[in-house]
Amino acid sequence: MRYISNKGSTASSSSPAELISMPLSAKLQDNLDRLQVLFNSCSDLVIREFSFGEPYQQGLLIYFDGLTDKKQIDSHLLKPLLLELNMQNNEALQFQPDMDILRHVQDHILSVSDLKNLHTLQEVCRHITSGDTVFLIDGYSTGLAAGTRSWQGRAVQTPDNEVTVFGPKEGLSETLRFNTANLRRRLKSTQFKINSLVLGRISQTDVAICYIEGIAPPDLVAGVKARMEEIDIDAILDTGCLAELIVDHKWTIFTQTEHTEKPDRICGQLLEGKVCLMVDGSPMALILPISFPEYLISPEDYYVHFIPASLFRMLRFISFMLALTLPSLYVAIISYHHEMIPTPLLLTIAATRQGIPFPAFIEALLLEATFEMLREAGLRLPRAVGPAVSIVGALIIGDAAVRAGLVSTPMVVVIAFTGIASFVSPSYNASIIIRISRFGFLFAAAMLGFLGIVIALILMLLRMASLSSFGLPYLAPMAPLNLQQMGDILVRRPWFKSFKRPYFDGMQNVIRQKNPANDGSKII
Amino acid sequence: MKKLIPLLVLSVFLSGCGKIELNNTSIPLALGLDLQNNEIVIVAQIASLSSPEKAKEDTPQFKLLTARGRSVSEAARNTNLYASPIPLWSHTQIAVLGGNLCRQNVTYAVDFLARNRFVRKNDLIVVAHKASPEQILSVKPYLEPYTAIAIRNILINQDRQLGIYAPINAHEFLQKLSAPGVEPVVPMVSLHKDGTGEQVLLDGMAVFKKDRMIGQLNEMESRGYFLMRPEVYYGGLFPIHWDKGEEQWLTMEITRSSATVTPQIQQRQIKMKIQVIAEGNFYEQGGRGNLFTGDIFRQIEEACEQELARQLAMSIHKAQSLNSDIFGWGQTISRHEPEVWKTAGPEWEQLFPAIPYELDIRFYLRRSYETDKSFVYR
Repeated sequence: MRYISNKGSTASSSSPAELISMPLSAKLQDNLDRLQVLFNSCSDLVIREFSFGEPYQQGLLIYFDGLTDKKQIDSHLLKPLLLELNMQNNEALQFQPDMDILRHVQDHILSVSDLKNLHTLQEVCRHITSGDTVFLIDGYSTGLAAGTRSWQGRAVQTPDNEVTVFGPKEGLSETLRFNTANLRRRLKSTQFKINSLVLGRISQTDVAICYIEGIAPPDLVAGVKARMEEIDIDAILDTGCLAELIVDHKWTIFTQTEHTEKPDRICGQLLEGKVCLMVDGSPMALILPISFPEYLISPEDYYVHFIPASLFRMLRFISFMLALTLPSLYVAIISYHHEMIPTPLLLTIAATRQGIPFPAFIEALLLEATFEMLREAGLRLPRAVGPAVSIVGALIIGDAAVRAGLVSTPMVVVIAFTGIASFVSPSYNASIIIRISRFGFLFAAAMLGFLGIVIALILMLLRMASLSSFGLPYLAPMAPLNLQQMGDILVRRPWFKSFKRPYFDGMQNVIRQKNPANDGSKII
Repeated sequence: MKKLIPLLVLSVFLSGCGKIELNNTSIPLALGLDLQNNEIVIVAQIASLSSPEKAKEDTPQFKLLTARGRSVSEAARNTNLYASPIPLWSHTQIAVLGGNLCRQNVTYAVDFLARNRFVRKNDLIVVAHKASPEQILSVKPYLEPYTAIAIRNILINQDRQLGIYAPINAHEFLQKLSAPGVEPVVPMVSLHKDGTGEQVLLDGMAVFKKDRMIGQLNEMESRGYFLMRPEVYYGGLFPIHWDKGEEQWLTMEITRSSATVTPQIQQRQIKMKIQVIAEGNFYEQGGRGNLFTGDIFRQIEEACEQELARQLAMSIHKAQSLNSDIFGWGQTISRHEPEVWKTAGPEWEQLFPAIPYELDIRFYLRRSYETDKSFVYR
């Protein structure tokens, strides 16, 4: 009924969706009415109407409380307009009839560096919600947006989830601008590009696409952009949502992107032709494309001397295999291949297994599930409760279960060892893949012993080989084999021998370092 | 696929082929085989599983499981009439062949040893001497918890430390039984009483011919047999009697030895030339005075050569008197002189006891492992 009675009024005749696509009106009151409809019941919106200058002009400041720096608004917007303009003795600054007041205010009065002209309501809304202050003057269909964004954000901190001993300790934070600045500080080149995009109908999230022009394949950058532009969703709250929306193969546990909080790692990847996506509000950046072996590479490898770094890397590959197959190998040997165990070891194992009521497979499954639950519980526990769960886990699972004869000690050792090994991988994505696949291997081992494990391994490799991450084969450079690049997978290539970047399709410049033996090489 | 997944999941809980839970098994460490009243008797030394803390010193940590049957396999399966666990035969360390079985016909056991997939071909074979396999396996050894492992370790360690009895595993045993021109010799285990009770003792070697045991080698003959094995071996200790000057026993250690046996044909007559090249160390002397001088050095070497020749001659004599070609001379001839073997092979039985041989032994005294000069009384 209300809408019917208000018919005729310009402001409320249209739905918000229609309103927002309207251009700014020259009449201040119209604009104000429309904005009030759009920001109906938004209690954090501040609208400040005032008159300024001589002769009086109607002006309007709109901003969101909490997103803006009020001191800046007061001293660089209101003070020049209300106070300094009237105190000016300079005739040249006074308003003249027929002069373009907007232009005058913009050029001579407002002492704000970031000032933009706005023409539609959509732009106005966008700037207000982003923390800018919009200044409208009666009689002009152009508004001014002053960059006054300022809010309480998390300071730059050491990332909790990617701890390194050597190398930079800074981590990304939730504010996109801080993050891009962090990258820009490390790559002071004009080739380092940051493209922006707004995603999410409601969230209107800023998304940045970072790459290095001249290295990253242009097809890749264009492809990623195209895929992102196709997204029509209400909100993008984290890079994780974005990753799931744009990857090649969606129905698989083998994730094809890498998340990181470390700007140095992002830069390292950008220099290898990768593309980095950052979402405002998320401290996680997305790196793509990524192949599976890269999950086992830590950024720290490149900061430590290459010999220990290579050994650490081999250790990681070994523990990867162990984490994947150790429980299943144990179950297969215990249930099928007793001949494989050296007799003294068999005697020890058999002695501990006496009176255990479960078959080895069930025992392993129970312990694995318990371990996963403990891990999941420990992840989200308030700090005060954390130790309690650890104690319960260690005492009840580790000790009481063994004493009660529910599980055997070697099995506890195997599962504990596997647990440790699965967290050796520097990437959380990889450890998720390992932990899930492990259960598949366990089933396979219980069904068919070693034959089952081999079948499961073959299936897993087949699946992985069939995947690609934005065109990069998922097992590259192992399959398809590239010996030159394998030199930086199982071991870490010394810096003094790293003349080329790891190449993938479409990469533009592969020369990383001037090779003294080959002076003709082009260098970026 | 959707129908298949539950089936696959369910199949986990079915025990598949070959799936044996460890809880249902027993671990036999030794397999004893004997023949009684034309029935195969099988003795398994089963490790009794108890955690190390609970195990007491004096109680044996094994149990013997005896079963009878018309064949070895039947007897082995018959153990399940007495005890529920399924024995994992693949973990046996030694096979003890009973004297009865060996003297009557070892064939009863051979097929099982040769073709059963659970029998490891590196199981060491011994023959029970003056006792049944059951008696041998019921002995609680000195230190090891299990007799089987004790016997295996005794065989392996004396091979290095003493060099008297050549261990033989199932594979070699079967090979020598089946090949023409070579017969197996198997170490024998007997019991001896000492203060704490009965203990196992390596005591001579059983000489086989065709399918049965026909005699035995004593210690010296075993040493000779040990020396004449074709492969290079390391280790072994032997005493020599020294009668030049002060009479005493010298102990020599062999560090490396290799024997080459070549047939020589002279006027259609076969003669075996046996060349042994050994290196060794001076290990201990029983008297006083410095024996380590240039002159005596060569004399010691000669004395060693004589001692080794004596051992070799004794074992050859024994083999020839038993008419069992334990050294594999027949094989050697067939390799070196195939033409001769064509005629000699069929009548090897008659030829072997009278084959002449020539010994050529070189012993090189390399060094002494002593830390000091010989002890001087003042």
